[in-house]
Parts: sequence; C-alpha cells; structure tokens
Amino acid sequence: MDANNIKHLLPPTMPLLSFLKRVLPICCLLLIYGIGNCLAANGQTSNPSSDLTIYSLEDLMEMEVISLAKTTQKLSDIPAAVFVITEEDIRRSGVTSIPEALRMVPGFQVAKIDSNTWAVTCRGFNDLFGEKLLILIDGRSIYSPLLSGTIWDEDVFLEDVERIEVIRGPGAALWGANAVNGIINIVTKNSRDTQGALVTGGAGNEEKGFGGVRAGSRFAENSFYRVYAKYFNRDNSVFSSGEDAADAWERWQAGFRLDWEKNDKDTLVFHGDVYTTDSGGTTQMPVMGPALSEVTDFKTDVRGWNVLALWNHKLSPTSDTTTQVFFNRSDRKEIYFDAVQETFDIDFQHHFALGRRNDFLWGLGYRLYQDKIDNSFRVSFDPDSRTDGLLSAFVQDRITLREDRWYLTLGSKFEHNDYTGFEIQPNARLLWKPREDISLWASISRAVRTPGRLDSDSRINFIVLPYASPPPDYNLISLFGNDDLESEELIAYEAGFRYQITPGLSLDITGFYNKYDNLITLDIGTPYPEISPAPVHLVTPLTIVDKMKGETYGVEIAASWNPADFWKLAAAYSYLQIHLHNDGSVPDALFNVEGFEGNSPHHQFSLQSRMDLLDNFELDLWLRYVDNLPNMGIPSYVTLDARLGWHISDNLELSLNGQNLFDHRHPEGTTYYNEPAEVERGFYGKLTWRFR
Amino acid sequence: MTKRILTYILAIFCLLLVSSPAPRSEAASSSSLTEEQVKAAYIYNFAKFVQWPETAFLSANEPLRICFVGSEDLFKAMESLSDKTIQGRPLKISKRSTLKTTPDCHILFISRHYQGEAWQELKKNIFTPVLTIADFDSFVSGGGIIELVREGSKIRFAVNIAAARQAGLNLSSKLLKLAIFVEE
Repeated sequence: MDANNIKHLLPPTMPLLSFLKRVLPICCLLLIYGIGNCLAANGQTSNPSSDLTIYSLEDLMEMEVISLAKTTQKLSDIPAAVFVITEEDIRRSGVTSIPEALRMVPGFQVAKIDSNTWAVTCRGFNDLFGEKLLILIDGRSIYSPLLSGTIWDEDVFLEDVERIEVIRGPGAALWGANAVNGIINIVTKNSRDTQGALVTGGAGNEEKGFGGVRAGSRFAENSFYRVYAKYFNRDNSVFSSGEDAADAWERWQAGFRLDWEKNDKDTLVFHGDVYTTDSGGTTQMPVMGPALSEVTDFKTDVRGWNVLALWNHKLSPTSDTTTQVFFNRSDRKEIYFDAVQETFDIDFQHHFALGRRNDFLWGLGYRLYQDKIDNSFRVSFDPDSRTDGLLSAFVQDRITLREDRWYLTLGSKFEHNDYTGFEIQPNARLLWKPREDISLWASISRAVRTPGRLDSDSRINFIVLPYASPPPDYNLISLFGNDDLESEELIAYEAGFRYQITPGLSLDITGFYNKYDNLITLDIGTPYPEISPAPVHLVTPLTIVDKMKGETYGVEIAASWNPADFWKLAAAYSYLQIHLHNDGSVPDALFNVEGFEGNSPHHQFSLQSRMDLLDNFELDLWLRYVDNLPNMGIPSYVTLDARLGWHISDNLELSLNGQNLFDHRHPEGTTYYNEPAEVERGFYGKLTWRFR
Repeated sequence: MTKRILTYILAIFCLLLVSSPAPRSEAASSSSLTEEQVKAAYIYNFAKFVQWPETAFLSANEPLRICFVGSEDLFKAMESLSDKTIQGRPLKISKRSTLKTTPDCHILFISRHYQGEAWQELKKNIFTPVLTIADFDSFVSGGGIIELVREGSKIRFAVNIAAARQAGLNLSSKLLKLAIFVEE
C-alpha cells in the first residue's frame, strides 16, 4: 500500500479531513510512545501470559468464555477485526432483532429501510442485500445465491442467542466466497444452558405485539433439548409525507435444538426451525400505458424451514473433526417474483496440532443449490430454474513463531463454482503480543464475491418512458444480467491494535485499506424493438458489467470502560472513505459511479451506558450518530434508545424501552425498488419469566 | 456541531493513549481465556480456600494431589500449573480412568461423562477427605462439594457445605460468599 496514493485521493476541501490530518500525526506519535512504553516494560516482566494463577475468584466470575467458530481461540489472539456481541449486550440494549444488535459493532452500517427491510453492511457498499457480507446462523449460511445477498427473512429467538461473532474484513480463507467485507456468525446456546421454561412477551406502538416461549429438558444423561416458538407483529412505518406505509410485518417461528454428548469424544447437535412471515410494501410498477407507472401496495409471504446436524469427534486432545450437514428451503411469494430456493450443504473439517508450533486446520465442503422462479413482467430469470454446485477446500496453519509473542497464520480457500470456475482466496496474518495485555496484528487477504443468479440471469424492467411518435410509444428501460461476469475481487490490507489498559478499560483499533476490482456496475446497450408484451415498444438495455474499481479505507475504534462496579460504558467510532471509478471502457458519468460513494456514511459513532441501580434496577442508554448519505438524500441523524429494567424477582424481569427517542421519525436508507419509508419513535414494554 | 463532537471523541482517545497507566506486569485481561483455562483457574483458587484435615497429609511437604476423571482438555490446562504451590505444598496433577482409584486425591474433578458412576460412588461416601468438583447439573444437590455452573457466557460455582463438612473439609467464608448457591 502506497501512502502517497491515499493522500492524493483525499478530497482537499473537507474541513474535517484537514482537522484529522492535523490531529492524526499527534495521535500516531502518542501511539508510538505508548507502544514504546510497553516494549520498555516488556524487558522487565516475566512472562505472565499462560499464568492462570493471577486470576482471583472475582475475576473468574466475570470472565466471558469465548470460543470463536471453526476453532477455539482467545479473543485477544485473533489476528482480525473481531467483535463479539454477548447475550447481556443484546438483553440490555433493548433490541428486538439481530440487525439492530449489529449496530453495536464499530464500522457496521445498519439502516432500517422500512418496517421489514434492513440494509446491513460493513466497510462500504451499502445495499439492500448487504451483498458483501456472509451471515451464518450456527454455521448455516443464510446468504441467498439468488439475490447475491441476505434478506433478513430468517430469524432466531433472541433469548436463545449466546453471542454474535462478527469479523470485519475478509474471512474468505476459512469461510469461502462472499465473506468479502465481513462475516456474522449467530451462535445459539447449548440446550444444556436453556433448561427449564421461559415465557416472554410485550407490546408497544411500533412493536405492536411480540412473544416467545421456550421449554428445555433432558431426555438422557448428557442429552438435552429445547423447543421454542416466537411471534412478532410490527407496525407500518411512514412515508416522508406522514402517511402510513403498507409494510407491517407479522412473523411466526418455531424450532428445536438437541445436544447430545455421547461420551468424552463425541458430541452431536441437531437443530431445526420453521417459519412463516407476512409483510409488504409499496412500489412503483412500470406500466406500458399512458400512466407509465402505477404505485401499488403489495404483500410478501415467505415460508421456510431448515435442519442442521453436526458431529464433533475428538481423536485426541489436540485433534478433532467436525462434520456438518444442513438443508434450507424457502418459498417466497412477492410482487416481483415467486421463488422456491433449496440449499443442501455438507462440510467436514479436521483440526490438529502438528508438533508444538503448528496448529493445523483443513476442510472440504460441497453445496448444492437449486431454485425455481415464477417470473413477472417486472423481474424475470432465464433460465427460470437452475441447479448449481459449489465444491470447496481450505487449509490453514497457525504457526507459533515464538511462544506467547509471535504468531503467523497462513491459509487459503480453494473453490469451484458454476459461474466463474476456480477461485483461490489466500490470506496471511501476523500477530504480535509485546505484552500479555497488548496485541498488534496485520494481514493481507484476497477475497471474492461470486456472481449470483440476479447478476447473471435476470432481467428487471425498471421504468417505462414515453417515446417520440411515430410508434413505438414507449421506451422500456431494462436491466439485464450478464452470464460472463468475473468475480468481484478484493485485496485487503488490515492492521489492528488491542490494548487491555486495565481490567476495566480496553481499546481496540483497526485500520484497513481495501482495493477492489471487477466490481459490478452498469453499461448501456443499443436500443431495440420488442413485440411482447404488447404494444410494440423500444427496449433500452442496461447491462450489468464488471468494470468498476474501487478503493476504500477507514478506521474502526471500540473502547469499553467500567468506571464503577455498577456502570459500564462502550463506545464505537468508525471512519470510512470510498472511491469508485470505472475501468475506462464505461464512462463514470454514465451512471454517476461516484455517486454510489455517497451510499455509506463517512462517520458513525455509538455510545452505550449500562447502569445497575439499587439492587434490581437497570438503566441503559444508547446514543448513536450516523453521517449523511448524500446519494440517497438521507440527512445525518442522532438517535437515543433507553431501557429501564426491573428484576421484580429472581425469575421475573420487566423492562420499559424507548427507541429512536430524539425525533418523531427519520429515514435511514432507500432501495431502488420500494418507496422510501421512515423509522418512527417507538416505545414498548416487555416481561420475561424464567423458571426451572 | 458534529465536527465538535468528533473533536472531543478524538481528544478523548488521544488522552486515553497518553494517560494509560504504567505498564503492569500482571494484567488480568478479561475476555481472553478458554473455558478450560477458566475452569483450571477456578480449581486453583478453590484449593487456596479449602482447609484439609491434618490426616489428609502424611508429611508437611507432601504434594496436594489434584485428579481428573475424564476432561482431557481441562487436565491439560491444569498441567500448566504443575510447578505452582498451594498452601506451601507442591501440586501433583494426574488423570484417573475410574472413580474407584481416587481416594488418595485431595481434589477430584469429575467430568460429566462419569456422572452415572459419580452418583453411585457419592452415595458410598468414599470421598473422604476429597474436595469433589464437577461441571454437571445437580452435582451439588446430589452430594458433591463444588459445582461449576455455566451462566450464559460466564462460569460461576455452587457449593454444598454439608457435603464438605462430611468430608472433613473446611471451606472459607469467602468461597461461601461468592457461590451463587449454597446447599446447607
């Protein structure tokens, strides 16, 4: 990475940037001073790292036990931008959905577009489908190959979530394609930890009614299970005019999980869910008639189910294998198209220590995906049914260069997919722990986002324009997929610094520079006449092409501080800069490529305060600032969420929650498809009862 | 307005960096241990807060024997402490394949895969004077002395005083105070 390169990319006129330029060198100096300090101290200290005797009982009782997916590692030892949202974080933030919880993660942009639609992205490229993020629920991918992204049709019972592990930046070396800008793994609790019963429910003005029940029990020694059901009903959002949007959302889900520890060596896990959702929205449909378009309210129904089985087998204390199989089906009916999608996936991985220095992980996987689409005039796929296979393998070696000091991780994923063929996604990560409480890491990785059905096989009829007489009368602007696309490619350079300053104060800083190639953009083709559907009209084709390049860079900072036993503060700040340009074969001005830069906020800030008051009250506040999105016409906003919790007894908890308190309503994002809606101020109360 | 807020934030972060206290050699960094390490550290702490009867040791420098039945990973985590001393005694950490060969242990950790056997042996009262520890359900109410309990992402513990008394062990009041549950 060339520093001068970045410098000349900076727009010169921003006052904030010039301010940053002035302050950053000072910060850097201080940072170097700090690190120097640490190094100086390093010489004097004996190696305390693996010494477990320094922890008091009180320390131990407050310690979070973390096991990050694929293999277990200490959080401070992971050479990547990791962030973990705990069960307590979820409970005390008052969030009612996973996307809302992700707002805690520094650098994550979460925009609620309407009552049932979220755009969740990281490090830029804000889009309805968050196309560069990979999202997993207990290791099961919910990324849709049809839309090349994630729609939040799938959900979990929040009370079952143990933690949400988030890695910003590429995780492709382990997780494969589409883990380009980040990975989210939602981990639910072992059913051993959800024994007894739980009943929760509440209501408010935006959360019109929600509830869930869970029951857990054991059916044999070391065999536990739980079953649950949940429901919610969310109110319509409003248009900027103040009118109600037709996007209310009602959703049912039920499921089970079974954990069976057969013996010291074998563990089996089964889970499954079934859901049905009812939502809707408002869109402008193109019409080949004098009106050219009509605004229509529509309904969306989704039904789906999934099952997953996992078998972990210990070969020895330093060697184990995991085999996982899952099946996913969803049946979506909406105004744009109906789709049935099915995914079958089998994964095997083997983890073992090779000598004292090498921790080795390798795996194989195969995924079979198929869909069947019912086309409409607005959106159609050709072919309307497709079956694709994805074969993958990965290797990773974590090398201890020097015990408790230097670690090098090398790895790569190898994949073969039906769109772009063979893809290699390697990475190299170096971790240095000058002291037990400080980690510095740096990495270089390559990741790809493979095209999906929408990019490759779709046709979207966007707008009908009048055409000068004589006939044809209409000009239909249509967007065409392209089955000749390369994968979008990312080379990412990242570095991070983690410092546990005192047991109650920690700091985590990550910087990145991403270089993208073959990004998807649009080109315009030669208009041609089309007979069907009647009347005869002209088609102006816009074609998806892989001609855009881009650079993004930014900083993400997370800090947490316990000023007192009863008080915790958590702050997050992120800065992001994006530059996009076509490769020369398509003019930038054609679709205002630079405009897309303005889809993601430059600055975001979040501050959470959690207080335990008296013996059984909790007062939690959450302030967030999101910078404006000029391309979408979204002004910057500051919001406040507040929660008052009362533990009436050991089993019973009541909370009163306020969301988006600072304004009556505000917009957070838009889509190309639906009419933009705004998020309103909300209040709800919630009661949770647990008993064994 | 926003620029000013950002200025403050940056200033605070810079301050944090400068004002970071003198480096400490023993940083108890939270959120950075594996489950096994946390459990091993617990066992080490328990040992400090338990008094064994004099008959439990033949001589003043006899090692404190910590035994594991099952739980290979925990045993390994514990082994990193084998050069420590507790109450002036060196530690001897060992693995046993069955509960029947454990009467010489001072601390006995039983993995959940041996719970069937544990219920039977606990009834026979053979664990004297042994501090029994386990991480499975109902261990404490079934006559074990300390149970490690998973509460969300944290590990806590419960204590059975009656069982400790019966085994001839004296638990310190600190242990009882911190336990999430004390069976009398």
